[in-house]
Amino acid sequence: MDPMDAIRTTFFIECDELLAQLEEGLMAMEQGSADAETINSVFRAVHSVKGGGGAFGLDPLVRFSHVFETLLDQIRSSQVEPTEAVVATLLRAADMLADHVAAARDGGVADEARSEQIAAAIMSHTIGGASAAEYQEQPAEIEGLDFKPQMISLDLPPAAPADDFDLSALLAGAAAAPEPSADGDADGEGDWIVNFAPHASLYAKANDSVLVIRELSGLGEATVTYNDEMLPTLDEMDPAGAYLSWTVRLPASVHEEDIREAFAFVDEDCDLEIVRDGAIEAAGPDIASLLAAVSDTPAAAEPASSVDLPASAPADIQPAPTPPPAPVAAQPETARVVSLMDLAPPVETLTQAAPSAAAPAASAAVAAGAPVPPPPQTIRVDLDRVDRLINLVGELVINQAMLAQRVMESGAGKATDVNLAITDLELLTRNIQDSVMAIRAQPVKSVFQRMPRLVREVGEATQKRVRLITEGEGTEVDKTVVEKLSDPITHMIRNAIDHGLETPAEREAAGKPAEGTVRLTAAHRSGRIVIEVSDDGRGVDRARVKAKAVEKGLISPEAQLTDEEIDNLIFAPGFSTAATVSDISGRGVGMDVVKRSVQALGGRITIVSTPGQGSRFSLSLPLTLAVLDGMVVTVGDQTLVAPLTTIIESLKPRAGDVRPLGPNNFVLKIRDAFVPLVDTGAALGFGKSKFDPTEGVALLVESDVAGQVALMVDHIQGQRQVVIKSLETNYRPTDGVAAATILGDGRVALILDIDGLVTAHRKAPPRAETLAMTG
Amino acid sequence: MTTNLEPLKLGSNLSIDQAGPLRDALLGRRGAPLDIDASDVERLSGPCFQVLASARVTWNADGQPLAFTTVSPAFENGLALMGAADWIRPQEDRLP
Repeated sequence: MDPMDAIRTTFFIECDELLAQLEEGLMAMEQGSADAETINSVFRAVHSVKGGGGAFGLDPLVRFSHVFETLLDQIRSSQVEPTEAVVATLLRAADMLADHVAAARDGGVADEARSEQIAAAIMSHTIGGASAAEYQEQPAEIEGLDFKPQMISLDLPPAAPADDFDLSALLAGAAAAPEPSADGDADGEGDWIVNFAPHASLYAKANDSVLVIRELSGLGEATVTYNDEMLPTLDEMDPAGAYLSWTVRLPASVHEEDIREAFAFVDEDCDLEIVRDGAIEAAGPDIASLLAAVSDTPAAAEPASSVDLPASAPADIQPAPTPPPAPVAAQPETARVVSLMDLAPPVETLTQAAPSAAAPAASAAVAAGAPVPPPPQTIRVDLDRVDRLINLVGELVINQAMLAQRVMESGAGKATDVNLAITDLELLTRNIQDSVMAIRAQPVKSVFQRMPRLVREVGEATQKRVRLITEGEGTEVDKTVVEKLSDPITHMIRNAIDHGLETPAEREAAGKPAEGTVRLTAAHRSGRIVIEVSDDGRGVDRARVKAKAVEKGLISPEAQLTDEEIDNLIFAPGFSTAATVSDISGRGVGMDVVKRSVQALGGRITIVSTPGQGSRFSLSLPLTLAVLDGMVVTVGDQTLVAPLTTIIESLKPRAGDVRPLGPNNFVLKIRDAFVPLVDTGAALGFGKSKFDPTEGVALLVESDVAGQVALMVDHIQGQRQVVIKSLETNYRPTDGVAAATILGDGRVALILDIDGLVTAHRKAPPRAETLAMTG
Repeated sequence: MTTNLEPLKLGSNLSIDQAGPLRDALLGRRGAPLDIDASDVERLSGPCFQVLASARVTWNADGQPLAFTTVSPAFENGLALMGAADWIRPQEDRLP
């Protein structure tokens, strides 16, 4: 990938994270926790998006985020109260900012009229707010209007001026001949500050940091400091590792190209930052002492006063966001990390911290960038690589099963030590598989976070007041499942607001609060993830649903349906009860599409509704789409796999418990209930010509379409974890079959789709039309 | 002199591949005060500098003194280049 593209991609990935952080902070503010830390995190998120946007010349985005940021800054400095109306505007602004980011990423343009409208709403809350005209005219790259970050210097050693806006160092590193950004060049030349952190690969390629520093030193009078914060003690260090980094200060007169030239052979093997020293003199003594209190650096010796940054000053001459380099020959300094996520510019945090002198020391310390526990280390890995690993582990599982079978067949399995070794291998394989799956496991938070916006928009469009409550955001599920959750959840929430909730007037008339509640929850249950969307609306209007179904010819007018069956009619293809088809959810592709997409994931969806009190949709999905715990059974000459999670029990039917029902069907008496008996072979189109339930084994399974059902099979072979191979991809979709797997003997076994099987079985009976709809 | 023990004499060519042996040699002297004789050093690489820096950190953590007794001009220049001129700053306890 082109280095520029790589940086751009990273920027947008980080934008997603920042937007999520923004949304989270604003949601917290909406719920009343407008503490300094939350407001700061919200501010920083917008600030950082703006910074990156500026570096890439994304003018509309920068313009909008500037206005956004201005209001947030005033909230931070307590000039503006974060009232409900203000937070509502901020939430809309966050949505708009997300649109700007999406447009920039996809090379499009966000809805400029809407952007202006929301910017105007923001400015109406801003003290001394700029006019819409000013918003349009405002140059993207300029800090201005009434947002005046205070520039401070702490009389510390010269700080690297790299701010979090300015990706120029990175960009310049990637581009062949970068244009210098609007940095110190424009406003008096500051010395060059070169931060250089070699990677181990630099030494592995026989390059040497000494040579680089020597070359830099040859460019002019250089002041070199090394940073040993990452340096371990001798016994823990790898002689081939790279633990030291250096800061080299060079005279302003040196050409940037010459500096870069020194890194010509090592630029891929180090972190490099080249910036102008742009720190401005003077700092408030309180700020200086505050910083001194939280760092090892001595406080400013001389009293100083704060200086406002001129409105026209370029955005990127600000103090470095990270602790500045230590003086020459001083104590080890804090390592400088060159990262787009280096997002805590002291210029902001300190202006926040200064007035909070009376605030709890902890928050002041946080604001001033005091040491906080480091976040867990993560790496970004290309998903393809993980998928490849998962595939290989799948093959390993199959191979392990084959090996076990070969050993059994050869008779060697009778030896205890061979058996033990095979068991150990099986255990190890299972552990590897679980660990690999855990790599892809992701919390559903990423999906849940998109929903508040949806709720706001749908609420606005339908003129309904809605409160969204989410629970279980940390519930983890395989990434492929997470990605596919978004659409069904989106549709269920739209449906809940559009069809479920009443208008405020109707709610009040029904004695309910005007604001409706939609609850979105996720939890692990029996090896599956269960997502529920519930509302406190009017519930399913069964009379209307049934009438509609008759009208559409989906059921016969005489059909006698239970409440549950009527509720399930909403999943029938093309079913829609909305009087007018709205833009929100009534496009006639509603819940049947949801149901089909859920089924495609090996999941099921159910609805429970209480008239007048609301409805609850439950979505139950496997945690992973790669492996399955199954019961391996024999039917005729075929080996089949039934998902273990659907099986309640297995039993051998006695002759007296099997009762005929009509000419072709049987029911099985299990304790005090009768359940339909399904001839698995016949339902799949093979099996014995004569069906004798007492000769086989019944698997009592839970199906969505007909509750408990007994599946008749010939034999049970045992439980086994199987690797799922898509039948759709490798063959074609087949009724009653969810997927396939490869057994230890190399044969393909079909994995049963219980609901599909039950539906196939019930296609012939008199109430086929009902079942076709609910299936 | 910091100790009565023989100083650890560094080789003349502290190149990249000498970082491992240098580390081992230093580790062998751990737990006691250490004098280092760098009078023969003609060349100092980044990794060897790193090992020496780690040795200083280690000896400091152990509460043991570590000093460079004699240094060659090349070694002195190398340290200055890497921002470590103060490693061999004259100290009261070892100069008359």
